[in-house]
Amino acid sequence: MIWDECWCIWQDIWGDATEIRLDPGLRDYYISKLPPIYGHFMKSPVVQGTQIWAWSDDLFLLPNAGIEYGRGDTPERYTNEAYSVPGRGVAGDAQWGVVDGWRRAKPEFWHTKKLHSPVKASEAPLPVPDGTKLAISVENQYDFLDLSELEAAWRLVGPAGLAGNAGLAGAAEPIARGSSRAAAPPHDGHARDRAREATRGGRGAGGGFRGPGGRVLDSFRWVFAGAPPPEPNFPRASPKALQTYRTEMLNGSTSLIVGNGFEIGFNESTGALRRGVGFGQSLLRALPTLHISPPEIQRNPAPPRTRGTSGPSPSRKLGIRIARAWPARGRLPGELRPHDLPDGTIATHANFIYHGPEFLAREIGLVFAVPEEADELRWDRRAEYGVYPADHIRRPRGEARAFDAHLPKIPPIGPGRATTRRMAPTISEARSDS
Amino acid sequence: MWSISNESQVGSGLWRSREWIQRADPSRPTTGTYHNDGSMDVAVRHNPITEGEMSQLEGRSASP
Repeated sequence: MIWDECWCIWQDIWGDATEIRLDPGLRDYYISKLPPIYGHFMKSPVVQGTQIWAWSDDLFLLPNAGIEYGRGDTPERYTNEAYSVPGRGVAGDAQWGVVDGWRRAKPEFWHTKKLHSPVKASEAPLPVPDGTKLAISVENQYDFLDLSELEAAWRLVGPAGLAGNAGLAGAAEPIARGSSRAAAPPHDGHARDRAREATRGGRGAGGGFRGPGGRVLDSFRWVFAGAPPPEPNFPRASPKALQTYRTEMLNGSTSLIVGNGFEIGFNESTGALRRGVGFGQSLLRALPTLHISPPEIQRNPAPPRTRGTSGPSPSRKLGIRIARAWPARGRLPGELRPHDLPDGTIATHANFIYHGPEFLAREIGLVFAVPEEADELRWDRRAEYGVYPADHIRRPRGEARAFDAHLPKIPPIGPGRATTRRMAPTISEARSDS
Repeated sequence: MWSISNESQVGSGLWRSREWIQRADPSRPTTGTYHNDGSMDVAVRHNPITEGEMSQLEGRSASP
């Protein structure tokens, strides 16, 4: 049996162009449901092959044609600015390739590559190596190659960078659909110390496989179970006990928490942030709070946001229950435990629990306000896979600048579209990214 | 493998094409989209796809 056109990318033709333009992150959902389908195919006794339509966008440049592609009424396309001018034109069917007309890889190209990778390694958190071996579960989906015929390498990654490296030992026969376990002996026998160092830095290990001819097959990243998340590289204040004050301001009683070089204040009645300064600058204008954008207001440029302290908020109609631990005192909910914070920092935790019926939302996340000068965002988040190209929209670690200029250009820069052709990171790139 | 159609039912015209292909190249199997009743050498199922439907069709197909 052949499954035809089962990996197709549906975009910009069935009324989803506006959504993709508003939120290019929607492209990530292409991969979210496919791994179990792929796994079923690989274990099927009758399926002999699958197919995608198509590898490349079905679009063609046609001078003076204007915009003439798609099916029916497609209200918005990202190519409009570049091609709705005299002398230019684009015609065809749909932009449903994993590469565009200029052979630039889309985010879905990487998803496809990872999905069909012939060597699968689980990226579940690993136990901290307690000896000289790091055990990694590997599944060989080659028809004819034994895993021992591939070049494999991994490295521990600590706060200061690479902390050691070794080759992978072990083998898995072709079509070894059950997981096999490969042991990796480090080259100098100090894996435990390096693993502990890596764990303290919130890191783990990175590695990958090369096939015959040295071509990179796939790269992976593992974190050690129990490792704390990586800490942002903020300026460190010298240790000093926190002090709390209460002051009356025009907008009500305010609790102030003062540390060494920073000060943060909350309205005692509402919990709203009244002051957030540090190191001589205004750093925070509003605390992180829950943001839900229901689909019925998807085109509203200013969707309602939850504000205030714990308890019902403007999202009351959705039945959101918000519980927070505020670094404040008095009548404010939550608690402050300065004795737990010997380095003079304040930590806050937020839990949002929804007990209502299932509903659709186009955005769920946290919103907070910072000064306009804070125009650089760095992030470290979870993703479907551990390793992505550096320009992939779903990359779990990266940085971006606000107010980036978007000018019409040829080729057009589409939402979430890679600007360079990247097929796969090298193993060394995966290591440095880990 | 020769595919005689894409996103198309297989009528008498395409069936005659299949017969010609089998004579011209008997070494390869033939197939066609929307035709998974067992009369083709290889069954083809088009999108959309669900795991439930995969299991159902697998029970009706013979292993190669």
